[in-house]
Parts: sequence; C-alpha cells; structure tokens
Amino acid sequence: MRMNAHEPTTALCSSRRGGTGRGHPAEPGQVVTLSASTTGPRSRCCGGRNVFLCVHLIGALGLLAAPAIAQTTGQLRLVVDPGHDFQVILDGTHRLQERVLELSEGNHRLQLWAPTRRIVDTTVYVRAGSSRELTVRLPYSPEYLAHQQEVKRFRERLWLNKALPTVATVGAAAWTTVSYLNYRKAGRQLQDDKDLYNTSADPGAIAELKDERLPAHQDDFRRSKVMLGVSTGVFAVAAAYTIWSYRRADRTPLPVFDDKEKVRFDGLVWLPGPDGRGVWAAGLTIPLR
Amino acid sequence: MRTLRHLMLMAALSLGLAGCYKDDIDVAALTNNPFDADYSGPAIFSLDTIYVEQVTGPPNFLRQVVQFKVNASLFLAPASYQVEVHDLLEGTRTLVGQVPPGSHTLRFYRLEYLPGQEVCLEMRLTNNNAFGRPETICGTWP
Repeated sequence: MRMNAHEPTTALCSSRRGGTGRGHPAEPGQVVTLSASTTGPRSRCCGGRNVFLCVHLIGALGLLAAPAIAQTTGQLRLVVDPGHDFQVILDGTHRLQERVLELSEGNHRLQLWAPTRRIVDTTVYVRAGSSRELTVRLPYSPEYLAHQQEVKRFRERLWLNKALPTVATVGAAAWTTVSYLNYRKAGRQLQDDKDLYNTSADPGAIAELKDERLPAHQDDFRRSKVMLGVSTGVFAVAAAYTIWSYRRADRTPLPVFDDKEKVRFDGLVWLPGPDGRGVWAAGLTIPLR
Repeated sequence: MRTLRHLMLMAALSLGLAGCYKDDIDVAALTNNPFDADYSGPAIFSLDTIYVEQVTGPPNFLRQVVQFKVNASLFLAPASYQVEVHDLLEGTRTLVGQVPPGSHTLRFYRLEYLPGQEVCLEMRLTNNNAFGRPETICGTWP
C-alpha cells in the first residue's frame, strides 16, 4: 500500500487475518503496507451458528477476568526502513521511538521520520484486539539527496585539488631527476676531458680536446645546468603548491547537512496554547504488560 | 619545532644540492700541460752543457754536443716523448729521442761549428707529429 507523504491518509484494515488496507497514491520509493490479524475469543467463535451463546459467553468472560482496556486496544507493529532510528509522532502529540504501539480502537495519525528521510504522514485504523503491522519505507529527503550530491562534488573537487598538483609535482620531480642525470653525465664528461688533458702527452689530442670536444661538452653542460635549474625551480614551486593544496584541502570543511525535515518534524509536536504562546509537547510511553 | 624541522629539511636539501653541484671548466685556464701548445708554465728545457767530443771511426771526427734537460717534474703524468730541435742558425729541424728511454737529459749533435759562436736552438716536445710550445735555449760554442 502506498501513500503520499505529508498528506494525512487513512488506511482501513481488513478484519480478516492477513488482509491489507486499501491503496492510496504514493510517490516512488515510499511504501506503506498494512496487514492485520484479528485474535481473541470473539474472532474465534463469532462466525458460527451459536451467535447468541457466543455473545453471552463473551459477556461472562469479560465480567470474570478480562480487563476492559484489553478489549479496546489493538497492537500496531511498525516495520520502518530505516529500522534503527526512526521516530513517530502519534496523533500529533506524542513523540515515540517504539516499534510496537498499543493503541485504542479507531483512527490514529502517524507521522514517521528518520534522520535524512522525509516525513511520512499516514492515518491508520486500529481495531481493538487485533495485531497489525505497518510497513513503511521512508524516502530520502531532497535536502539529503542534494547534500549527497554536494558532498560528492566536494570530494571530487578535493581529489582534483590534490591530484593535479601531485601529478604536476611527480612530473616535475621526474623532469628534475632526468635533468640531474643529464647534468651529472655532462659534468662527468667535462671531468673526463679534464683528466684527459692532465694525462695526455699528445699535443695533437690536447689541441683537438681544447678546440672541439671541450667546447661542445661545455655547451652540453651549460644547457643541462640551465635545464636542471629550471626543472628544480618548477619542482620546488609544484611541491610548495602541492603542500599548500593539501593543507588547504584539509582545512576546507565538509558540507554540513541541514536536516530541514527534522526541523519540520520537531515542529510537529508544537501545540498552540490557549494564550497563543504555544507549548512543546513531549511524549512518554510506558509499556504496561 | 615545526619551523625548525622545515629549516633542517631545507638545509639538508641545500647540502644535497650543493653536493650535486659540478664545476664548469675554464678552457682558457688549461695551460699547465707541457705538451699543450698553449702551455704557460715554467720553462721546460734548460741548457745543461755544450762540449766537443771525438768520434772514433773511421773516419774520426769531432762533433759538438748540446746537452739539455727536460724538466719532467712539470709533466702532469709520466710520459715518453721526443724533442724537436730547430737549429735557428742553420734552419734544420731534428728529432731527438730519449737515450736511454726514460732519461730526461737529451743531446743534440752538430758537426759544423765555429768556436766562440753563439748558437740558439728552438725546442718543442713532440708526440705523434704534433708539437708543444717552442722554447729557445742559447749557448756559446767552446
């Protein structure tokens, strides 16, 4: 059975065991299901031919032992998704967190809510002496869905804010490493040239070294030196930016979820007083068994 | 404490970078190898003595000997070499080897001479038909 949220609806239950109430328009994701079972002597014996005897038997039993209140209440079991922290406002006045309600016979308005969920407002008819089950799936509130989207975007942005500088830093580090290796190679080449100059006894080789090889190797060395300087600078900037990004990301607070449905739900038990100022009503349930 | 840690990290990085630093080479400053044509150090050659010796033949003849020394301590590494001697008086060029090998006292022989005449020789270290810086030594025939 499906019902509209926020709109009081009435679900009539069948007096037959396992029957369900009539359907109401509902939104997707919101499910209200009613099932009922009638128990007790009346249901067991009132369907046959000895109606007269049955009525008298009931009267006698009632006078002897059965408390009158037990005859006028019915049990309503709430099966709610989510099942761990839902709350219900009974008849607009009592705020409860019970899963099983002992209710007097008649219509009862139930407003169900759980954190991050929408309020489901429904009316249930409770028959005396019967045990019924109300199955409700509370849909997520639009604010929560929007909050989830916002959190998702926030995390994506956070990831991007960390990932991009990290990738840039890793790239700059790789560039710096390659530049350093080239720089070291060029430096070693120059050192080899210097060693060759110091050990050579061949004037022709020395002249060739000084006129051709050394200038070329010096150009390589200077180029690699400039490249190393640039790459180191880029790496330093990227690393600093990455550190700053991480720190900024760590300082950025997560989007806070403002549960407006909770505010609305809390406001449901506010009752206007005779002087117009209003009172807050709190419910207290003491199971008597 | 955190600032101190950052400073220590930066100091370590600086030291690491400084350790990685490599010097460039000033080619113009490479002039300390005696085999370099641009050598600018102390003189490599020095005149030891000039004398006349009798060569017993046949035929017997006299020849003049210019004995000079190569300052091998200037070499940056042990090396074998020859010396090209340019007789500025006659215009001849002669290669003088190390006799015996490893010796740094070399002799240049000359047949034609005039007693009392000054002779100047231009000398260069040489290997593989390439030559080092020329130096001139002069002396007077006895």
